Amino acid sequence: MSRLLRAVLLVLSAASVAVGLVAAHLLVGRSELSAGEVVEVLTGRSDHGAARVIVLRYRLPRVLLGLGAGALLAMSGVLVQAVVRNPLAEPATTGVGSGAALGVVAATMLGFHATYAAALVGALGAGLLLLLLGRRSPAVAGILLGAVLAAVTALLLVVDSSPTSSVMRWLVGSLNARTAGDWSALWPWLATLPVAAWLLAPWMNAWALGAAQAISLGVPVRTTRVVVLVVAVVAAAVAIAAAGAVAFVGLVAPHVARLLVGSDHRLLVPVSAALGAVLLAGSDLIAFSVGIDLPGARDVAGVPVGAVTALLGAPVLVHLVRKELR
Amino acid sequence: MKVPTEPVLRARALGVGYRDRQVIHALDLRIEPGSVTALVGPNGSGKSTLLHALARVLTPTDGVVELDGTPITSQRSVAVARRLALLPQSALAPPGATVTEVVDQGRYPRTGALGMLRRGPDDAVREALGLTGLEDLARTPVAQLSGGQRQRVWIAMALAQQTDLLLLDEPTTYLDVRHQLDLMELVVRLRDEQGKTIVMVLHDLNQAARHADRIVALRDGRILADGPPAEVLTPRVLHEVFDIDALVLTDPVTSRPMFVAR
Repeated sequence: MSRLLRAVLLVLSAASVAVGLVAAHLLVGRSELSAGEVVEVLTGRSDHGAARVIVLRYRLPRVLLGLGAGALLAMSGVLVQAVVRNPLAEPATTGVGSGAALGVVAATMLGFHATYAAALVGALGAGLLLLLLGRRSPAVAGILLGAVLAAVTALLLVVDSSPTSSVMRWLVGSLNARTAGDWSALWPWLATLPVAAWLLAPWMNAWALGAAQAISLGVPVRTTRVVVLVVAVVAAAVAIAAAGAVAFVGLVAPHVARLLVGSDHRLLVPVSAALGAVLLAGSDLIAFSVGIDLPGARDVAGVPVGAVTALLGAPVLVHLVRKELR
Repeated sequence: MKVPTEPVLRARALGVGYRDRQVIHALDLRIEPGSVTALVGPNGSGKSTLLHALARVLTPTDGVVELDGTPITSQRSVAVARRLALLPQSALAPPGATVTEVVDQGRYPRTGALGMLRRGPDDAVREALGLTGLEDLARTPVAQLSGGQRQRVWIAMALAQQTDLLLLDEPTTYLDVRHQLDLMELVVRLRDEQGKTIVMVLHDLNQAARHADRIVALRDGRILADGPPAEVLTPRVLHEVFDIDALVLTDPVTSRPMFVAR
């Protein structure tokens, strides 16, 4: 029970940090808005048109997107790690993230703006390839697949370099210049995918004992693998459509969650999601604050949050690899 | 003690193989209810493969495994898991998982996935921990246990499944002499008190002779000898199955046969 209690406390503290992050995001920016003005906008009592646009169209959606995409990436990380049986796996290292990014980049270049559909097609394609190629060693297959898909993306960018700056934000991951429209595309997924992921916890717990043991317990391993991978891929694709292929959130958040609450996926899924949410929105606050005085900070060209998560996540990856090798 | 009239588990003309190699050839075997059967044989003889096929973890290439008279592969996986539990040789401990959390997984076939979402450890888990002497370690991470303690965790998990049939793949391998004896006594007790049917792969022939009702000796995927220990543990069978020249004596404690290599 102590682990359950700890998980509940962790989710609650993450929630309060999230509230703090929302407040910070609403107050920090180049246009000076006082706390009073922000509260007036949020309670619908403001007649200051510019303040309403800044808060409701830009600042609030941006922080909500960060929280939501972070939660989905972390969750996807937990699911992918269960499928490939490797704690180093995450959307970015299994080809799923590269697939989604490739989908978005290709669609952008062809002039389609159906970002979600493009990310889903790319990620599901990569997930299918992972299932087909990765029977023996899915973790290795994922890394190779990710490299190949990233190379294809790079090739596309060489062939046509015109949309580079808008495309870069999908590749690195950025919440710059996201608006209310992006949030309204994300929230329906956010309302459903975490529940789906949590319902899969018993299967993932059984798999963790090894394939023979899972079969022996009556878990239909083949079908459940596909189901879990599909949920993981959809979550990653949606998060990437919202925030770009942010690396390391899907690695760091589950890793910290595992250290704190152990390996029971019933706790791991919600705790990872909560940590991923504050990790991405927090990193975005750093990215935004660092880049605020740089030219184009309001623009897509500002400091991308993916750069911050990469700096934060790289040491964790090094630590994990060293632990694996020991 | 319930005694089903049909043989609980039966292999008919069973063939099992991997991509490039056939391991089990046209094998017939009936496991009698309420008995302890030991599968013995040299390395590579197919005894673990046979056990995995009986547990439907491996799909036969030929023939059929029947559980309660119907092919095991045509039954629902969860339904099979309510009748039969497997202790695999290479079970993995999820990092950070405690003894109770692992043993609790044995309840999956009874409660189903949705049940596993909301419930905590129940009486069956506590009973399994008690039978394997793990009460004091219940909250310890499995990763911190010794090999022998870990082995008892897997056995407890199989017991938590509350099945009539237990298939054990080399259950005594990592155990010291004391715990080997404890485990074999537990197996006999489960047969006597709960009428369980146990099939186990053993390496130690004297252990098999001492505790099993029946020994099935395999070599190259075929059964070379099958019967009570006194019929199987003979110099002739030991020579044919293991290529050893052995002297068979009578164990002064149990009056069962035991062998000494010459």
